[in-house]
Amino acid sequence: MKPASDQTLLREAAAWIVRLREHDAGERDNKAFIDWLKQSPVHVQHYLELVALEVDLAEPDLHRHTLEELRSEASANVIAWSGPGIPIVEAQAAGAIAAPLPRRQRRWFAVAAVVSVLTLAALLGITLFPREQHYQSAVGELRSITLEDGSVVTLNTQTELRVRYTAGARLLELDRGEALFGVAKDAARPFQVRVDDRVIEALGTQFNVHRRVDGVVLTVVEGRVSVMSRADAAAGLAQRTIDPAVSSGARATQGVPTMVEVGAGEQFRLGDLSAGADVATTASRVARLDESEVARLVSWTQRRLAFNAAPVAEVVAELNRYNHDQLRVDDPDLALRQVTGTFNANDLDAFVGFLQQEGGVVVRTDAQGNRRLQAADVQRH
Amino acid sequence: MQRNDNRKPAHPGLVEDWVRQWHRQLRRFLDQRLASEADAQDLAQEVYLRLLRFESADLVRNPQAYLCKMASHVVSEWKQEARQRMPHSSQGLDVLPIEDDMDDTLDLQRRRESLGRALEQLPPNMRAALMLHHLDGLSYQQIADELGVTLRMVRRYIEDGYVRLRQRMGTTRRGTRP
Repeated sequence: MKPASDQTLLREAAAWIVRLREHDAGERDNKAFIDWLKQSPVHVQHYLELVALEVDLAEPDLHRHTLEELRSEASANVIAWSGPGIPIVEAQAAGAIAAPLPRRQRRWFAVAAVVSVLTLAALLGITLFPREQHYQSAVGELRSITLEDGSVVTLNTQTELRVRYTAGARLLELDRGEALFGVAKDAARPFQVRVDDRVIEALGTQFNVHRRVDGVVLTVVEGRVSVMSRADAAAGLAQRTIDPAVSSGARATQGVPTMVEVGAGEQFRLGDLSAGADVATTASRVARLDESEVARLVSWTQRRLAFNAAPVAEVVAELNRYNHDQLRVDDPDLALRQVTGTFNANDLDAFVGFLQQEGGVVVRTDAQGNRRLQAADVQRH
Repeated sequence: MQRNDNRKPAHPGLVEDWVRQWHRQLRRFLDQRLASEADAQDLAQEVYLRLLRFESADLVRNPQAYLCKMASHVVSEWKQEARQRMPHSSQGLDVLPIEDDMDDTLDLQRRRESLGRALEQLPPNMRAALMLHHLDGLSYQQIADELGVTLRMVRRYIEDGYVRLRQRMGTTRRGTRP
């Protein structure tokens, strides 16, 4: 049995969550909340445990009982469902559900309509809300995952990927890092990788997606993929209007989603897709790469990083992604010096050795254990 | 980062991305190693101390995200310490969380079952509100419209729901049940 004061704190914590979730809390609310938290560790604990509860509550299975009950209550008033065969959450998240019908009278019936679809789906063994799988790779880790349809995803260092397979689609979300997708063919279920508000759709193909600081870069190794906005992707899934055989290039006629197709050996920055942009301009942003360049871009799957006349700063930044110990370049001359070579992602020593061999590089280790690189001939001003 | 550009969630009701993101690690750790009340207290204690030391405009802007982040950092630091303490002994490996198929751990299953049972004992409207909020991502106002109740009632459902669920879950965690 919890003491009464604990009870009070739990209620206060719950009230805070409700309040902060309801709308974008203003600074005043936030400050008051922080003050509340700062009263004691027990306050913090109550809050953290409620956050944990919230995430648990997103688990669809938990609500089965509620769904069934609602359905039986409303069975006399079943409303025909003509909506899209896609997860409701997805459609809403993408803003695909337009102006709502008059709501007041709908009440339970509306719930019942949604519910009946879910239950029907459950009866048919279709999971509208299948469990989301989460995959994560640590610093320097390279991870290969085989998904249930045989598709293989390789995660590069520090990458996070969420995977959710539904009856009608294979949905993946790249939250962080870089991944190479080897997609198994399944014409009935589009393979969609979502990155922020962009969606890359493929059938059977292989492509690399890298969330860089300066934008998301898509490189297609094999086959062909489409890039579209999230809203268009949701609408497309709903209407099944996406024709895998559409001709190459961007299109943006009325009512047709803006999308751009990227083929084998091509590269596209997802940020270059925008609804307002001229079609031809968008298509022209698709860059053609040399075969060797494509190979270089996916060389990370062998833990080898290849560079062709790249500045030292870039190589260091790349190597740092794979290692806890970090290299720092302390002077601009060295940072801009160009190097060509292939380095083992996990072997900083080898790269430092390479630079020293080239000559003129001084290495010292700072208090944090990171190595700082400096050109030897640079005099301190 | 692009993510920060759309700070405002498309659905205010939906649990936000950062919660999910930071929480996942937190939850795993809680499942694997913080099964005891004492561990949860330690974590809260550490987050609390960091919170007292932490002064930043960002904290005021989004305190919830910062809390989750801090908690997640504490957890990963502990994990790293644990790793360094027993680098290669097989004994250590049993204690360390296995990153793969975390989702299928017994603890998780047990927690879900008890949460499911706790949910079933809530009044139907309260359960419906929780479901519409967490599963369908409806805002409180949307839930009010759907259920035909007032906004105030919806807040009440969610708040009471949390309190009741936590109370029931809490006793399970403390090992009262076999």
